[in-house]
Amino acid sequence: MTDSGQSNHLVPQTLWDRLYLGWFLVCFFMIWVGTWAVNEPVAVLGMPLVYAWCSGWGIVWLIGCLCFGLKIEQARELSRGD
Amino acid sequence: MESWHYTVTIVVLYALLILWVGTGRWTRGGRVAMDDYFKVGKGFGFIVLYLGIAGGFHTAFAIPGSMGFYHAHGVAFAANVLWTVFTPLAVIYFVGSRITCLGRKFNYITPADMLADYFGEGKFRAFVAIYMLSCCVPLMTANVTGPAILLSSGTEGHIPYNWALGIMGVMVMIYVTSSGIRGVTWTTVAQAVWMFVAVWAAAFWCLSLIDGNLLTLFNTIRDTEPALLTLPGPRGLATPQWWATFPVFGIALYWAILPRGFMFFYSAKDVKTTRKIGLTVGFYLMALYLPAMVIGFTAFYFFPELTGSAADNSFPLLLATYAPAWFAGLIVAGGLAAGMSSLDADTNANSAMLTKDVYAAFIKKDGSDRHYISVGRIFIIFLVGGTVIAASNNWGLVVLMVGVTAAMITQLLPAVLAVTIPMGGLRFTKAGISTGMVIGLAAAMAAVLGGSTFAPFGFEFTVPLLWPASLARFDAAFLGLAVNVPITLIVSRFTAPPDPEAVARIRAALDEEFRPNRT
Repeated sequence: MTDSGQSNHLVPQTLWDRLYLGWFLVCFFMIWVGTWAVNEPVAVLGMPLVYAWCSGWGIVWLIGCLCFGLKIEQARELSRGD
Repeated sequence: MESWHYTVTIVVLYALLILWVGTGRWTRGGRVAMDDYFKVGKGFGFIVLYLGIAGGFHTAFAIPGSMGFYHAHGVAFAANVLWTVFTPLAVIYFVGSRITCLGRKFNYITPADMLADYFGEGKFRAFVAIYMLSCCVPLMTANVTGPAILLSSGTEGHIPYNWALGIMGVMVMIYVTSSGIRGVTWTTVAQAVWMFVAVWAAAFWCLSLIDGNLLTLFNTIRDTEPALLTLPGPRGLATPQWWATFPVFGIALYWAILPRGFMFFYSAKDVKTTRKIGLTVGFYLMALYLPAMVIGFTAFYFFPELTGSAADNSFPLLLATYAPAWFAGLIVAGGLAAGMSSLDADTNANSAMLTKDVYAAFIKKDGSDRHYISVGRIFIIFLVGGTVIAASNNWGLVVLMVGVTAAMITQLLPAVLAVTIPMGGLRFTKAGISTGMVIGLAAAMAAVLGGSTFAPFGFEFTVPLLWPASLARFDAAFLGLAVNVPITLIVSRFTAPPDPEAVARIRAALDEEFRPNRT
């Protein structure tokens, strides 16, 4: 059996889907890779830089995806006529 | 009254609260049915399920594990930011919502229901159920160990470690047998709130110990152990290989597909509820870990001499030495909340799998729902009893156990993704998935256990290092998956496909929900 006739749900469909994915990847890489660029024993408001960097990007990541996710939800409801 | 009496009093009040919440009339379903005991037939709304998932996802690692981790490895702990955000925004939002969709549409109760519906019934169902159950046993054992130590040390040893285990076990047995997933979820709501308050209260208390001066704390750490402030940490844990693979493959990708995750997703009122939880639960998960830095470093500030496994006890020691007894009681109860909120959810999910996927599928096929629920309750008692007995032995393998669970569950990922996410031309078969899981598991276990020495029944042996040293630095779950995926795809190419009708039915359900405008 092949699924060539089936849809591919991995591909983002709408602009908001793409923005969600893009934001997700940018913030993810900022922590995943970017942390190594700020790996110094420096204090930011009394907190270690690595901690402040990762937590800060984590919050930005969550807020951005929440905004785009709510837009996706809104668009879905509109397309269903809810 | 002696100080430990206050601690015990608060823990008793906490226990009574949990038993009341876990057995009250709000935990009663309208009917006697498996699909309204192991999961909630009608479905939970956003707030209850949000807190249920939030509490259920944080284990004993939240209290006291995270504080001990900071004491030992410093800011390497920040790796946890990755999974506390990645899991909700990717796995719950994208995969969890699809599990909710299929679970509600086809009334699945267990994870194997979904996989067997797609790949085909038979022994595969039992294979998946027993595989998942054996994944969870190490995690359940690890989950009760930390809180029991905390309770024992918080009462100055007046409640011995084994009694602490027994108390947790009996409480979980009472409300899970009484109310199933409803008891699990409602108690987890209370536990999520309690542990959140406890962690943040502990952080502010620690700040008061250092006169609110974070910079003094930072400078002290920099003068005594500067390696705590950068990667890879003083013990060299957070290497680039570890950082690149542990948070994503070792936690994020498996955490939400634990059996307890399936039960929560099946118990959502609708797909929108799960998606909204995916978008927002990361705020709770991450916020619970933010104060761990202050707590862990304050414990280091006062007890820098603790090394090795003693670092895990730095926070309980800080509490025992400096905290007022009532406050220690609040935190100890928070630790119990963290451990029990995962143990109960795991117990319910494992009991469901044993009852539906093994007992009802192979032993007694024509029983009534009332009979199966009674059998499920017996499994709950055995599962909790077994966990308590296993944890009462000092295996010294707690960290290893969590790694074993992660490595095992991650091997299920190709199967879960194959069912929930149509991927164009990619082909997955039952033989391919099973072969990939088994070989991937062997590869992951070789990485987790390689070099470890065991002495069962006095016979000492060391597991050989099968992975080259350069690869062994990567997380075991990642290594297993790197072997699993190509084998799954290759074997799937040459073996019998799943029933096209079942595949089409499942794909149609997903298309209808997630691709409504597809032409």
